[in-house]
Amino acid sequence: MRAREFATTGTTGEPVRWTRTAGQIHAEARLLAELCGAGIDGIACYAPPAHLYGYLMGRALPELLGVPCRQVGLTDPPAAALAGWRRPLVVALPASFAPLVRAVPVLTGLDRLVVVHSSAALPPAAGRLLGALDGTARLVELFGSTETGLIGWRHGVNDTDWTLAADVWFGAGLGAGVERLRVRSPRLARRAGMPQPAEIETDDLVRVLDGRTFRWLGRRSRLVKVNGRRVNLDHVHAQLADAVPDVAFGCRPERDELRGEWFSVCAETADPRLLTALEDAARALPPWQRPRIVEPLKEPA
Amino acid sequence: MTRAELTAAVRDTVAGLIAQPLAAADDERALAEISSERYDSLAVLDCVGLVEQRFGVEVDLVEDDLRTSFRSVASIAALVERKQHDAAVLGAAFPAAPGPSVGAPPAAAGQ
Repeated sequence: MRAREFATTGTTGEPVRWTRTAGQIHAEARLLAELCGAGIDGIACYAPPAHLYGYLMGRALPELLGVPCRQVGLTDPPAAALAGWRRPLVVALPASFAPLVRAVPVLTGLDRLVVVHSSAALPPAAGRLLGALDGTARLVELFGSTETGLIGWRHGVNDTDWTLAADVWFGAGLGAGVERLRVRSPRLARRAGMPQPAEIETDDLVRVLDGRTFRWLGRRSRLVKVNGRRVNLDHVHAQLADAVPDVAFGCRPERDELRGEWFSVCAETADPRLLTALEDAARALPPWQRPRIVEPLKEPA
Repeated sequence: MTRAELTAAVRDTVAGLIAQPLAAADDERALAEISSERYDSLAVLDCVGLVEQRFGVEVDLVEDDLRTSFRSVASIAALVERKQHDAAVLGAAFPAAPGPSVGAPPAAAGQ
């Protein structure tokens, strides 16, 4: 394993590059192996390897464990993705649960299934999948970021609280109230040209329950994770407002059955000319930043 | 519903999803080609949900390869037609038995 860089979208939308050393990547893979790798005979990875989660689960972990890995697309048949394996691990994105839950007849033939999901809203299909495979499937949810690496984990769709990974500690002075999460760990990434930080403050609002567990309460910024990918709604709003300055509108976050989270653009106008201009501006955004819909603001019933 | 009506209804469903009008001449064209920015893999899964809801069919990912069955309006219409036909044949072969009236207690074991 060698050092690698991973990019995040900065607060202004400009990408920020984060470097992880070979030792950090190896340590991360070892933690993941302990959490979800025991006894698996193959990895089907829906997460793209260009992002930290996909790289760790789809490249570093298989290398460490010596198991095969297949990169899987959302429209690939799950049966083909898992063919020949009896105890696979599936690296899921929120949208992965839709094809998986439709492939239950295939999955019930497995000896065991481990599904890993990371740092995004779990869609309802996840509960349906685990219910249908009761006793055979195990869910491991990971909490972390490109900057921090793995912070914590939890099991099961009904588990509300997170346990810190073995080499992670809360930042100094983090109290029992609602606070932004700060963590210390030997796996914190460093920005290009900068030293490794002593601790990193994330965008998450949490309540510390004890020395090793916390409850996630929300995010400080206007961030949504659309199929696991960060979208800053303030940034989207600014881009649309630049393109269409003549209309007041808002970006409204919402839950999405498939993507976990998504958002709509609600305009304070029904003028078709302005709505079309907003739609055109939304179409010009990068695909993952596009809203579900642009529509006139509806008064609450 | 005739094949032409079914295809028109599928065209209407897909056009709404990709926010772009579709003509009958587009039916055989790959939707990813018509709207590469809108018809990505997430949109294919959205489309599966919409088709199931509108046409009362169930897409089975063990049998139905989405890469081919959700490639175009024509391929989606063919899938729906086949599913509806299969459901009609199965329905005729195994008509649903009349169930208990709403609120009736279940029969006790052994009775």
